[in-house]
Amino acid sequence: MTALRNSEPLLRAENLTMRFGGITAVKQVGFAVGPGEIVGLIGPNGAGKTTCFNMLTGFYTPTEGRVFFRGTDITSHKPHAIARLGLIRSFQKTNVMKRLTVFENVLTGHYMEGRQSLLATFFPGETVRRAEREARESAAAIVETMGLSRRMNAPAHLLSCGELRLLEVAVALAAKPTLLMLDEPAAGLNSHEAMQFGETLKTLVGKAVQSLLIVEHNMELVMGVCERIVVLNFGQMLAEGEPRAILDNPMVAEAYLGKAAA
Amino acid sequence: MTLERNILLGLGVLAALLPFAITDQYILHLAIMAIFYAILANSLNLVVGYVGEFSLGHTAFLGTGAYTAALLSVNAGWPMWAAIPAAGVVAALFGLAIGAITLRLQGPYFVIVTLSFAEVLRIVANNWIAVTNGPMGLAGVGQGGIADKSAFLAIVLGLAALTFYLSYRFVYSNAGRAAVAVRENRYVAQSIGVNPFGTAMQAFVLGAFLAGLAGGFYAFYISFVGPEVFRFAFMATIIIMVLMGGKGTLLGPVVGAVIVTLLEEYLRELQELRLSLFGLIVMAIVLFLPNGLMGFIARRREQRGDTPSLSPAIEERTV
Repeated sequence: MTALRNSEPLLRAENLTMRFGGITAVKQVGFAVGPGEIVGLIGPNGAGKTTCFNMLTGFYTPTEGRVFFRGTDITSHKPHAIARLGLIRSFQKTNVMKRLTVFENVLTGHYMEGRQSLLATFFPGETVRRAEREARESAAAIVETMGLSRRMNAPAHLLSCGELRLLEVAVALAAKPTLLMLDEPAAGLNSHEAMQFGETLKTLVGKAVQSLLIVEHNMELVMGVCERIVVLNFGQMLAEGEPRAILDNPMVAEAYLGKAAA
Repeated sequence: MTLERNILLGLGVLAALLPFAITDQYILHLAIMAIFYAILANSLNLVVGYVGEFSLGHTAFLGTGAYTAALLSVNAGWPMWAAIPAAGVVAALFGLAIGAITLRLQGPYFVIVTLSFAEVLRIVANNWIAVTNGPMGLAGVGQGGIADKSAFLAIVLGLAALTFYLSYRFVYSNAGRAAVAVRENRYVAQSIGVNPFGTAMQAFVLGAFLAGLAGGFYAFYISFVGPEVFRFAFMATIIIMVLMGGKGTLLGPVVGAVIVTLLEEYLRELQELRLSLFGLIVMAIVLFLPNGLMGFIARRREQRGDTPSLSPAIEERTV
Protein backbone atom coordinates (compact mmCIF):
# COMPACT_ATOMS: atom_id res chain seq x y z
CA MET A 1 0.00 0.00 0.00
CA THR A 2 1.20 3.47 -0.82
CA ALA A 3 1.98 5.43 2.29
CA LEU A 4 -0.69 7.96 3.18
CA ARG A 5 0.38 11.56 3.24
CA ASN A 6 -0.94 11.97 6.71
CA SER A 7 -0.90 9.50 9.56
CA GLU A 8 -4.66 9.82 10.21
CA PRO A 9 -6.72 9.03 7.10
CA LEU A 10 -9.95 10.92 6.46
CA LEU A 11 -11.91 7.79 5.79
CA ARG A 12 -11.04 4.31 6.89
CA ALA A 13 -13.04 1.18 6.14
CA GLU A 14 -12.14 -1.93 8.10
CA ASN A 15 -13.17 -5.42 7.25
CA LEU A 16 -16.42 -4.35 5.56
CA THR A 17 -18.76 -7.22 4.82
CA MET A 18 -22.27 -7.06 3.45
CA ARG A 19 -24.51 -10.09 3.16
CA PHE A 20 -27.95 -9.98 1.53
CA GLY A 21 -29.57 -13.21 2.63
CA GLY A 22 -27.22 -15.92 1.42
CA ILE A 23 -25.30 -13.70 -0.95
CA THR A 24 -22.13 -12.04 0.20
CA ALA A 25 -21.95 -8.89 -1.88
CA VAL A 26 -18.87 -7.50 -0.20
CA LYS A 27 -16.41 -9.48 1.85
CA GLN A 28 -13.82 -8.07 4.23
CA VAL A 29 -12.92 -4.98 2.27
CA GLY A 30 -10.64 -2.48 3.92
CA PHE A 31 -9.05 0.67 2.56
CA ALA A 32 -8.44 4.27 3.50
CA VAL A 33 -8.58 7.69 1.91
CA GLY A 34 -6.11 10.26 3.16
CA PRO A 35 -6.36 14.04 3.10
CA GLY A 36 -5.62 15.48 -0.34
CA GLU A 37 -5.92 12.14 -2.08
CA ILE A 38 -7.93 11.15 -5.13
CA VAL A 39 -8.74 7.48 -4.79
CA GLY A 40 -10.47 5.33 -7.40
CA LEU A 41 -12.60 2.33 -6.59
CA ILE A 42 -12.89 0.09 -9.65
CA GLY A 43 -13.97 -3.39 -10.55
CA PRO A 44 -16.13 -5.27 -13.03
CA ASN A 45 -19.92 -5.04 -12.86
CA GLY A 46 -21.28 -6.55 -9.68
CA ALA A 47 -17.96 -6.32 -7.86
CA GLY A 48 -19.59 -4.55 -4.92
CA LYS A 49 -18.46 -0.98 -5.52
CA THR A 50 -21.83 0.65 -5.01
CA THR A 51 -22.56 -1.61 -2.05
CA CYS A 52 -19.31 -0.32 -0.54
CA PHE A 53 -20.44 3.24 -1.19
CA ASN A 54 -23.75 2.59 0.48
CA MET A 55 -22.05 1.12 3.54
CA LEU A 56 -19.63 4.02 3.81
CA THR A 57 -22.42 6.60 3.67
CA GLY A 58 -24.94 4.91 5.96
CA PHE A 59 -27.47 3.85 3.32
CA TYR A 60 -26.62 0.24 4.25
CA THR A 61 -25.52 -0.97 7.64
CA PRO A 62 -22.62 -3.36 7.07
CA THR A 63 -23.10 -6.93 8.30
CA GLU A 64 -19.57 -6.80 9.65
CA GLY A 65 -16.80 -4.27 9.82
CA ARG A 66 -16.48 -0.63 10.73
CA VAL A 67 -16.22 2.74 9.00
CA PHE A 68 -14.30 5.64 10.48
CA PHE A 69 -14.48 9.20 9.26
CA ARG A 70 -11.93 11.62 10.72
CA GLY A 71 -11.41 9.15 13.54
CA THR A 72 -15.12 8.88 14.43
CA ASP A 73 -16.88 5.57 14.12
CA ILE A 74 -19.79 6.24 11.75
CA THR A 75 -20.75 2.63 11.10
CA SER A 76 -24.40 2.76 12.16
CA HIS A 77 -25.02 6.47 11.64
CA LYS A 78 -27.98 7.65 9.55
CA PRO A 79 -27.15 8.96 6.04
CA HIS A 80 -28.01 12.56 6.88
CA ALA A 81 -25.93 12.43 10.05
CA ILE A 82 -22.93 11.22 8.04
CA ALA A 83 -23.49 13.97 5.47
CA ARG A 84 -23.43 16.52 8.29
CA LEU A 85 -19.93 15.35 9.20
CA GLY A 86 -18.71 16.33 5.74
CA LEU A 87 -18.86 13.03 3.88
CA ILE A 88 -21.00 13.77 0.81
CA ARG A 89 -21.82 11.35 -1.97
CA SER A 90 -23.46 11.28 -5.36
CA PHE A 91 -25.46 8.42 -6.82
CA GLN A 92 -24.93 6.07 -9.72
CA LYS A 93 -28.24 6.75 -11.38
CA THR A 94 -28.25 10.47 -11.97
CA ASN A 95 -29.95 11.82 -8.93
CA VAL A 96 -30.90 15.45 -9.03
CA MET A 97 -34.14 17.23 -8.24
CA LYS A 98 -35.54 17.12 -11.74
CA ARG A 99 -38.29 19.68 -11.47
CA LEU A 100 -36.10 22.36 -9.89
CA THR A 101 -33.81 24.60 -11.88
CA VAL A 102 -30.05 24.20 -11.87
CA PHE A 103 -29.72 27.12 -9.49
CA GLU A 104 -32.43 25.82 -7.16
CA ASN A 105 -30.77 22.40 -7.08
CA VAL A 106 -27.47 23.89 -6.00
CA LEU A 107 -29.14 26.30 -3.58
CA THR A 108 -30.94 23.37 -1.94
CA GLY A 109 -27.56 21.72 -1.58
CA HIS A 110 -26.61 24.49 0.86
CA TYR A 111 -29.10 23.11 3.38
CA MET A 112 -26.59 22.42 6.14
CA GLU A 113 -25.17 25.94 6.18
CA GLY A 114 -28.61 27.45 6.46
CA ARG A 115 -30.09 25.26 9.16
CA GLN A 116 -32.05 27.37 11.59
CA SER A 117 -34.62 27.12 14.35
CA LEU A 118 -38.31 27.17 13.50
CA LEU A 119 -38.60 30.54 15.18
CA ALA A 120 -35.95 31.95 12.85
CA THR A 121 -37.80 30.42 9.91
CA PHE A 122 -40.97 32.29 10.77
CA PHE A 123 -39.33 35.49 11.97
CA PRO A 124 -36.09 35.77 10.03
CA GLY A 125 -33.59 38.20 11.47
CA GLU A 126 -30.42 39.66 10.01
CA THR A 127 -28.46 36.41 10.53
CA VAL A 128 -30.93 34.39 8.49
CA ARG A 129 -31.04 37.01 5.77
CA ARG A 130 -27.26 37.06 5.55
CA ALA A 131 -27.06 33.25 5.47
CA GLU A 132 -29.64 33.25 2.68
CA ARG A 133 -27.70 35.85 0.72
CA GLU A 134 -24.45 33.96 1.19
CA ALA A 135 -26.04 30.69 0.12
CA ARG A 136 -27.33 32.34 -3.05
CA GLU A 137 -23.95 33.83 -3.85
CA SER A 138 -22.18 30.57 -3.14
CA ALA A 139 -24.69 28.66 -5.28
CA ALA A 140 -24.11 31.00 -8.20
CA ALA A 141 -20.35 30.61 -7.77
CA ILE A 142 -20.55 26.81 -7.70
CA VAL A 143 -22.75 26.76 -10.81
CA GLU A 144 -20.09 28.82 -12.50
CA THR A 145 -17.22 26.62 -11.30
CA MET A 146 -18.94 23.61 -12.81
CA GLY A 147 -19.44 25.50 -16.07
CA LEU A 148 -23.23 25.52 -15.93
CA SER A 149 -23.80 29.28 -15.85
CA ARG A 150 -25.53 29.20 -19.19
CA ARG A 151 -28.10 26.76 -17.80
CA MET A 152 -28.57 28.53 -14.46
CA ASN A 153 -32.35 28.84 -14.71
CA ALA A 154 -33.09 25.74 -16.76
CA PRO A 155 -35.11 23.01 -15.06
CA ALA A 156 -32.86 20.02 -14.43
CA HIS A 157 -34.97 17.69 -16.57
CA LEU A 158 -33.99 19.70 -19.65
CA LEU A 159 -30.24 19.18 -19.15
CA SER A 160 -28.11 16.91 -21.30
CA CYS A 161 -26.52 13.86 -19.77
CA GLY A 162 -23.16 15.56 -19.39
CA GLU A 163 -24.71 18.62 -17.80
CA LEU A 164 -26.63 16.44 -15.36
CA ARG A 165 -23.37 14.85 -14.25
CA LEU A 166 -21.91 18.27 -13.63
CA LEU A 167 -25.02 19.37 -11.76
CA GLU A 168 -24.84 16.32 -9.56
CA VAL A 169 -21.32 17.23 -8.53
CA ALA A 170 -22.42 20.85 -8.06
CA VAL A 171 -25.17 19.83 -5.63
CA ALA A 172 -22.69 17.71 -3.69
CA LEU A 173 -20.21 20.59 -3.62
CA ALA A 174 -22.90 22.90 -2.26
CA ALA A 175 -22.97 20.74 0.85
CA LYS A 176 -19.29 21.73 1.37
CA PRO A 177 -17.87 18.22 1.64
CA THR A 178 -14.59 17.32 3.23
CA LEU A 179 -14.56 14.05 1.35
CA LEU A 180 -16.59 13.82 -1.84
CA MET A 181 -17.62 10.38 -3.04
CA LEU A 182 -18.77 10.11 -6.65
CA ASP A 183 -20.49 6.98 -7.94
CA GLU A 184 -19.82 6.65 -11.68
CA PRO A 185 -19.80 10.39 -12.29
CA ALA A 186 -18.82 10.02 -15.95
CA ALA A 187 -21.34 7.35 -16.97
CA GLY A 188 -22.92 8.33 -20.26
CA LEU A 189 -20.21 10.81 -21.22
CA ASN A 190 -18.12 10.29 -24.33
CA SER A 191 -14.38 9.97 -23.83
CA HIS A 192 -13.69 13.61 -24.63
CA GLU A 193 -16.33 14.82 -22.20
CA ALA A 194 -15.11 12.36 -19.60
CA MET A 195 -11.54 13.73 -19.81
CA GLN A 196 -12.82 17.29 -19.46
CA PHE A 197 -14.88 16.19 -16.53
CA GLY A 198 -11.77 14.60 -15.01
CA GLU A 199 -9.88 17.87 -15.32
CA THR A 200 -12.71 19.70 -13.54
CA LEU A 201 -12.61 17.13 -10.74
CA LYS A 202 -8.85 17.52 -10.32
CA THR A 203 -9.18 21.27 -9.85
CA LEU A 204 -11.62 20.72 -6.98
CA VAL A 205 -9.25 18.79 -4.74
CA GLY A 206 -7.48 20.98 -2.23
CA LYS A 207 -9.93 23.81 -2.84
CA ALA A 208 -13.58 22.80 -2.69
CA VAL A 209 -12.94 19.39 -1.18
CA GLN A 210 -10.08 17.75 0.68
CA SER A 211 -10.26 14.36 -0.97
CA LEU A 212 -12.14 12.46 -3.62
CA LEU A 213 -13.24 8.85 -3.80
CA ILE A 214 -14.49 7.84 -7.25
CA VAL A 215 -16.21 4.75 -8.52
CA GLU A 216 -15.81 4.74 -12.28
CA HIS A 217 -15.78 2.45 -15.28
CA ASN A 218 -14.07 4.84 -17.63
CA MET A 219 -10.45 3.66 -17.29
CA GLU A 220 -8.99 6.66 -19.07
CA LEU A 221 -10.63 8.93 -16.52
CA VAL A 222 -9.66 6.81 -13.53
CA MET A 223 -6.05 6.45 -14.66
CA GLY A 224 -5.83 10.14 -15.48
CA VAL A 225 -7.29 11.46 -12.28
CA CYS A 226 -6.69 9.00 -9.44
CA GLU A 227 -3.49 8.75 -7.47
CA ARG A 228 -4.35 5.45 -5.92
CA ILE A 229 -6.73 2.74 -7.01
CA VAL A 230 -8.55 0.02 -5.12
CA VAL A 231 -9.77 -2.90 -7.25
CA LEU A 232 -12.71 -5.03 -6.19
CA ASN A 233 -13.76 -8.30 -7.77
CA PHE A 234 -16.67 -10.48 -6.63
CA GLY A 235 -16.91 -8.43 -3.47
CA GLN A 236 -13.32 -8.88 -2.45
CA MET A 237 -10.22 -6.70 -2.66
CA LEU A 238 -8.18 -7.75 -5.64
CA ALA A 239 -5.45 -5.14 -5.66
CA GLU A 240 -4.53 -1.70 -4.44
CA GLY A 241 -1.88 0.65 -5.74
CA GLU A 242 -0.86 3.41 -8.10
CA PRO A 243 -2.54 3.53 -11.53
CA ARG A 244 0.56 2.19 -13.33
CA ALA A 245 0.88 -0.76 -11.02
CA ILE A 246 -2.81 -1.54 -11.35
CA LEU A 247 -2.61 -1.48 -15.15
CA ASP A 248 0.31 -3.89 -15.08
CA ASN A 249 -1.30 -6.18 -12.54
CA PRO A 250 -2.11 -9.47 -14.30
CA MET A 251 -4.90 -10.30 -11.85
CA VAL A 252 -6.69 -7.04 -12.66
CA ALA A 253 -6.37 -7.67 -16.38
CA GLU A 254 -7.78 -11.13 -15.84
CA ALA A 255 -10.75 -9.85 -13.86
CA TYR A 256 -11.60 -7.37 -16.57
CA LEU A 257 -10.65 -9.24 -19.73
CA GLY A 258 -10.67 -12.88 -18.72
CA LYS A 259 -7.72 -15.28 -18.63
CA ALA A 260 -5.12 -14.76 -21.33
CA ALA A 261 -5.04 -17.67 -23.73
CA ALA A 262 -1.50 -18.67 -23.01
CA MET B 1 -42.21 34.01 -5.35
CA THR B 2 -42.66 37.77 -5.13
CA LEU B 3 -45.52 37.56 -7.61
CA GLU B 4 -47.14 34.86 -5.55
CA ARG B 5 -46.83 36.96 -2.41
CA ASN B 6 -48.26 40.04 -4.09
CA ILE B 7 -51.24 38.18 -5.47
CA LEU B 8 -51.94 36.74 -2.02
CA LEU B 9 -51.71 40.22 -0.48
CA GLY B 10 -54.01 41.59 -3.19
CA LEU B 11 -56.58 38.86 -2.58
CA GLY B 12 -56.42 39.59 1.16
CA VAL B 13 -57.08 43.29 0.62
CA LEU B 14 -59.97 42.48 -1.73
CA ALA B 15 -61.51 40.18 0.84
CA ALA B 16 -61.07 42.78 3.57
CA LEU B 17 -62.93 45.36 1.48
CA LEU B 18 -65.78 42.96 0.77
CA PRO B 19 -68.00 43.86 3.76
CA PHE B 20 -67.92 47.52 2.71
CA ALA B 21 -69.19 46.71 -0.76
CA ILE B 22 -71.58 43.90 -0.03
CA THR B 23 -74.12 43.57 2.73
CA ASP B 24 -75.74 40.43 1.40
CA GLN B 25 -75.29 37.96 4.26
CA TYR B 26 -75.32 34.98 1.92
CA ILE B 27 -72.42 36.25 -0.16
CA LEU B 28 -70.49 37.12 2.99
CA HIS B 29 -71.10 33.57 4.19
CA LEU B 30 -69.66 32.21 0.94
CA ALA B 31 -66.61 34.45 1.32
CA ILE B 32 -66.08 33.26 4.90
CA MET B 33 -66.33 29.62 3.86
CA ALA B 34 -63.99 30.15 0.91
CA ILE B 35 -61.35 31.69 3.18
CA PHE B 36 -61.86 28.98 5.78
CA TYR B 37 -61.31 26.36 3.11
CA ALA B 38 -58.30 28.23 1.78
CA ILE B 39 -56.67 27.93 5.21
CA LEU B 40 -57.49 24.23 5.37
CA ALA B 41 -56.36 23.49 1.82
CA ASN B 42 -53.15 25.39 2.41
CA SER B 43 -52.43 23.44 5.60
CA LEU B 44 -52.89 20.15 3.73
CA ASN B 45 -50.78 21.42 0.85
CA LEU B 46 -47.79 21.87 3.19
CA VAL B 47 -47.67 18.09 3.50
CA VAL B 48 -48.99 17.00 0.10
CA GLY B 49 -47.36 19.69 -2.01
CA TYR B 50 -44.08 20.31 -0.26
CA VAL B 51 -43.11 17.10 1.54
CA GLY B 52 -44.86 15.08 -1.17
CA GLU B 53 -46.64 12.63 1.11
CA PHE B 54 -50.36 12.27 0.57
CA SER B 55 -52.19 12.58 3.86
CA LEU B 56 -55.79 11.40 3.89
CA GLY B 57 -56.11 12.08 7.59
CA HIS B 58 -55.98 15.82 7.66
CA THR B 59 -59.49 16.02 9.09
CA ALA B 60 -57.97 14.58 12.28
CA PHE B 61 -56.51 18.02 12.93
CA LEU B 62 -59.50 19.98 11.73
CA GLY B 63 -61.64 17.84 14.02
CA THR B 64 -59.44 17.99 17.12
CA GLY B 65 -59.24 21.76 16.65
CA ALA B 66 -63.00 22.08 16.32
CA TYR B 67 -63.69 19.85 19.31
CA THR B 68 -61.07 21.60 21.45
CA ALA B 69 -62.58 25.00 20.76
CA ALA B 70 -66.11 23.71 21.27
CA LEU B 71 -65.31 21.98 24.56
CA LEU B 72 -63.43 24.97 25.91
CA SER B 73 -66.26 27.27 24.95
CA VAL B 74 -69.20 25.14 26.07
CA ASN B 75 -67.72 23.67 29.25
CA ALA B 76 -65.28 26.33 30.39
CA GLY B 77 -66.75 29.40 28.77
CA TRP B 78 -63.53 30.36 26.99
CA PRO B 79 -63.89 33.28 24.59
CA MET B 80 -63.06 32.91 20.94
CA TRP B 81 -59.72 34.72 21.07
CA ALA B 82 -58.41 32.17 23.58
CA ALA B 83 -60.16 29.05 22.32
CA ILE B 84 -59.03 29.26 18.67
CA PRO B 85 -55.27 29.45 19.46
CA ALA B 86 -55.76 26.65 21.99
CA ALA B 87 -57.41 24.61 19.22
CA GLY B 88 -54.34 25.19 17.05
CA VAL B 89 -51.97 24.11 19.81
CA VAL B 90 -53.91 20.95 20.65
CA ALA B 91 -54.10 20.02 16.96
CA ALA B 92 -50.33 20.62 16.66
CA LEU B 93 -49.76 18.24 19.59
CA PHE B 94 -51.92 15.64 17.85
CA GLY B 95 -49.87 16.34 14.72
CA LEU B 96 -46.69 15.66 16.65
CA ALA B 97 -48.02 12.35 17.99
CA ILE B 98 -49.60 11.16 14.75
CA GLY B 99 -46.65 12.38 12.68
CA ALA B 100 -44.19 10.53 14.91
CA ILE B 101 -45.91 7.31 13.88
CA THR B 102 -47.07 7.93 10.32
CA LEU B 103 -44.10 9.84 8.91
CA ARG B 104 -41.95 6.74 9.30
CA LEU B 105 -43.99 5.37 6.43
CA GLN B 106 -44.05 6.53 2.84
CA GLY B 107 -46.29 6.33 -0.19
CA PRO B 108 -49.42 4.20 0.05
CA TYR B 109 -48.61 3.08 3.60
CA PHE B 110 -48.63 6.67 4.78
CA VAL B 111 -51.93 7.33 2.99
CA ILE B 112 -53.69 4.38 4.64
CA VAL B 113 -52.36 4.96 8.14
CA THR B 114 -53.21 8.68 8.18
CA LEU B 115 -56.71 7.82 6.97
CA SER B 116 -57.15 5.31 9.77
CA PHE B 117 -56.10 7.87 12.39
CA ALA B 118 -58.86 10.22 11.25
CA GLU B 119 -61.35 7.33 11.31
CA VAL B 120 -60.31 6.33 14.83
CA LEU B 121 -60.83 9.89 16.02
CA ARG B 122 -64.25 9.96 14.38
CA ILE B 123 -65.23 6.77 16.20
CA VAL B 124 -63.98 8.20 19.49
CA ALA B 125 -65.97 11.40 18.94
CA ASN B 126 -69.02 9.31 18.14
CA ASN B 127 -68.78 7.10 21.20
CA TRP B 128 -67.18 9.04 24.01
CA ILE B 129 -70.53 10.50 24.89
CA ALA B 130 -69.53 11.84 28.29
CA VAL B 131 -67.16 14.32 26.67
CA THR B 132 -68.17 14.79 23.06
CA ASN B 133 -71.90 14.25 23.44
CA GLY B 134 -71.60 11.53 20.81
CA PRO B 135 -73.49 11.87 17.52
CA MET B 136 -75.53 14.70 19.05
CA GLY B 137 -72.45 16.86 18.94
CA LEU B 138 -71.72 20.01 20.89
CA ALA B 139 -74.14 22.83 20.23
CA GLY B 140 -74.12 26.45 21.25
CA VAL B 141 -70.42 27.11 20.81
CA GLY B 142 -69.58 30.74 21.59
CA GLN B 143 -73.17 31.62 22.30
CA GLY B 144 -73.76 35.20 23.26
CA GLY B 145 -70.62 36.22 21.40
CA ILE B 146 -70.26 37.62 17.94
CA ALA B 147 -73.03 36.88 15.48
CA ASP B 148 -72.23 39.44 12.82
CA LYS B 149 -71.03 37.99 9.52
CA SER B 150 -68.63 40.83 8.73
CA ALA B 151 -66.97 40.34 12.14
CA PHE B 152 -66.49 36.65 11.34
CA LEU B 153 -65.07 37.63 7.98
CA ALA B 154 -62.52 39.83 9.73
CA ILE B 155 -61.56 36.99 12.08
CA VAL B 156 -61.16 34.39 9.37
CA LEU B 157 -59.14 36.88 7.34
CA GLY B 158 -56.87 37.42 10.32
CA LEU B 159 -56.38 33.65 10.59
CA ALA B 160 -55.73 33.45 6.85
CA ALA B 161 -53.14 36.22 7.10
CA LEU B 162 -51.35 34.32 9.87
CA THR B 163 -51.63 31.07 7.89
CA PHE B 164 -50.16 32.49 4.72
CA TYR B 165 -47.48 34.44 6.54
CA LEU B 166 -46.26 31.30 8.32
CA SER B 167 -46.56 29.17 5.19
CA TYR B 168 -44.78 31.71 3.02
CA ARG B 169 -41.92 31.95 5.50
CA PHE B 170 -41.70 28.20 5.78
CA VAL B 171 -41.91 27.39 2.10
CA TYR B 172 -39.31 29.93 1.02
CA SER B 173 -36.86 29.15 3.81
CA ASN B 174 -34.06 26.68 4.09
CA ALA B 175 -36.47 24.30 5.84
CA GLY B 176 -38.96 24.60 2.98
CA ARG B 177 -36.26 23.85 0.44
CA ALA B 178 -35.32 20.80 2.48
CA ALA B 179 -38.95 19.65 2.34
CA VAL B 180 -38.97 20.06 -1.44
CA ALA B 181 -35.71 18.11 -1.61
CA VAL B 182 -37.38 15.25 0.29
CA ARG B 183 -40.32 15.40 -2.12
CA GLU B 184 -38.16 15.46 -5.23
CA ASN B 185 -35.56 12.93 -4.22
CA ARG B 186 -35.27 11.38 -0.81
CA TYR B 187 -31.77 10.02 -1.46
CA VAL B 188 -30.32 13.30 -2.62
CA ALA B 189 -31.97 15.01 0.35
CA GLN B 190 -30.21 12.68 2.77
CA SER B 191 -26.90 12.99 1.00
CA ILE B 192 -26.94 16.78 1.50
CA GLY B 193 -27.66 16.36 5.19
CA VAL B 194 -31.45 16.68 5.26
CA ASN B 195 -33.17 14.50 7.83
CA PRO B 196 -36.28 13.45 5.90
CA PHE B 197 -38.25 12.51 9.00
CA GLY B 198 -37.49 15.72 10.88
CA THR B 199 -38.20 17.91 7.88
CA ALA B 200 -41.47 16.17 7.11
CA MET B 201 -42.40 16.50 10.77
CA GLN B 202 -42.01 20.28 10.72
CA ALA B 203 -44.34 20.63 7.75
CA PHE B 204 -46.77 18.10 9.19
CA VAL B 205 -47.02 19.84 12.58
CA LEU B 206 -47.32 23.27 10.99
CA GLY B 207 -50.11 21.90 8.80
CA ALA B 208 -51.81 20.38 11.84
CA PHE B 209 -51.57 23.66 13.75
CA LEU B 210 -53.14 25.64 10.92
CA ALA B 211 -55.87 23.04 10.38
CA GLY B 212 -56.57 23.20 14.13
CA LEU B 213 -56.96 26.98 13.95
CA ALA B 214 -59.37 26.55 11.05
CA GLY B 215 -61.26 23.92 13.06
CA GLY B 216 -61.49 26.25 16.04
CA PHE B 217 -62.89 28.97 13.84
CA TYR B 218 -65.34 26.55 12.26
CA ALA B 219 -66.67 25.58 15.70
CA PHE B 220 -67.42 29.20 16.59
CA TYR B 221 -68.77 30.14 13.19
CA ILE B 222 -71.16 27.22 12.78
CA SER B 223 -71.60 27.15 16.59
CA PHE B 224 -72.00 23.39 16.39
CA VAL B 225 -69.44 20.56 16.23
CA GLY B 226 -70.31 16.93 15.59
CA PRO B 227 -68.35 13.82 14.58
CA GLU B 228 -68.85 14.66 10.90
CA VAL B 229 -65.88 17.06 11.06
CA PHE B 230 -63.76 13.90 10.95
CA ARG B 231 -65.63 12.47 7.99
CA PHE B 232 -64.01 11.60 4.73
CA ALA B 233 -66.33 13.91 2.78
CA PHE B 234 -64.54 16.88 4.34
CA MET B 235 -61.21 15.35 3.42
CA ALA B 236 -62.32 14.80 -0.18
CA THR B 237 -63.33 18.44 -0.52
CA ILE B 238 -59.96 19.64 0.73
CA ILE B 239 -58.08 17.27 -1.57
CA ILE B 240 -60.05 18.46 -4.59
CA MET B 241 -59.15 22.04 -3.71
CA VAL B 242 -55.47 21.29 -3.42
CA LEU B 243 -55.34 19.20 -6.60
CA MET B 244 -57.44 21.57 -8.65
CA GLY B 245 -55.55 24.69 -7.63
CA GLY B 246 -52.13 23.08 -7.87
CA LYS B 247 -50.18 21.39 -5.11
CA GLY B 248 -46.78 22.75 -4.23
CA THR B 249 -47.76 26.39 -4.72
CA LEU B 250 -49.16 28.77 -2.13
CA LEU B 251 -51.66 30.31 -4.49
CA GLY B 252 -53.05 27.03 -5.84
CA PRO B 253 -55.03 25.94 -2.76
CA VAL B 254 -56.56 29.43 -2.50
CA VAL B 255 -57.74 29.31 -6.10
CA GLY B 256 -59.00 25.77 -5.56
CA ALA B 257 -60.82 26.74 -2.36
CA VAL B 258 -62.65 29.61 -4.04
CA ILE B 259 -63.66 27.55 -7.08
CA VAL B 260 -64.82 24.51 -5.12
CA THR B 261 -66.72 26.57 -2.53
CA LEU B 262 -68.61 28.33 -5.31
CA LEU B 263 -69.18 25.11 -7.26
CA GLU B 264 -70.52 23.37 -4.15
CA GLU B 265 -73.01 26.18 -3.66
CA TYR B 266 -74.17 26.59 -7.22
CA LEU B 267 -74.34 22.87 -7.96
CA ARG B 268 -76.39 22.29 -4.82
CA GLU B 269 -79.59 21.88 -6.84
CA LEU B 270 -78.08 18.88 -8.57
CA GLN B 271 -77.78 17.12 -5.20
CA GLU B 272 -76.25 13.65 -5.51
CA LEU B 273 -75.16 14.33 -9.07
CA ARG B 274 -72.91 17.04 -7.66
CA LEU B 275 -70.60 14.46 -6.10
CA SER B 276 -70.35 12.54 -9.36
CA LEU B 277 -69.49 15.78 -11.10
CA PHE B 278 -66.70 16.38 -8.58
CA GLY B 279 -65.42 12.91 -9.28
CA LEU B 280 -65.26 13.65 -12.98
CA ILE B 281 -63.55 16.97 -12.35
CA VAL B 282 -60.87 15.30 -10.24
CA MET B 283 -60.28 12.67 -12.91
CA ALA B 284 -59.98 15.35 -15.57
CA ILE B 285 -57.48 17.29 -13.45
CA VAL B 286 -55.32 14.28 -12.71
CA LEU B 287 -55.30 13.36 -16.40
CA PHE B 288 -54.91 16.75 -18.03
CA LEU B 289 -53.58 19.15 -15.39
CA PRO B 290 -51.48 17.03 -13.04
CA ASN B 291 -50.07 20.17 -11.45
CA GLY B 292 -53.41 21.91 -11.17
CA LEU B 293 -54.39 25.30 -12.49
CA MET B 294 -51.27 27.01 -11.14
CA GLY B 295 -49.06 24.41 -12.78
CA PHE B 296 -50.93 24.98 -16.03
CA ILE B 297 -50.43 28.75 -15.84
CA ALA B 298 -46.75 28.35 -14.99
CA ARG B 299 -46.28 26.07 -17.99
CA ARG B 300 -48.01 28.48 -20.32
CA ARG B 301 -45.73 31.26 -19.14
CA GLU B 302 -42.68 29.09 -19.69
CA GLN B 303 -43.80 28.23 -23.19
CA ARG B 304 -44.20 31.89 -23.98
CA GLY B 305 -40.57 32.30 -22.97
CA ASP B 306 -41.06 34.12 -19.70
CA THR B 307 -39.06 32.98 -16.74
CA PRO B 308 -41.12 30.67 -14.57
CA SER B 309 -41.89 33.38 -12.05
CA LEU B 310 -43.69 31.18 -9.54
CA SER B 311 -40.33 29.81 -8.60
CA PRO B 312 -37.84 32.34 -9.88
CA ALA B 313 -34.34 31.19 -9.31
CA ILE B 314 -31.86 33.90 -8.67
CA GLU B 315 -34.03 36.90 -8.05
CA GLU B 316 -32.92 38.52 -4.82
CA ARG B 317 -35.49 37.84 -2.18
CA THR B 318 -37.00 40.69 -0.26
CA VAL B 319 -37.39 39.27 3.19
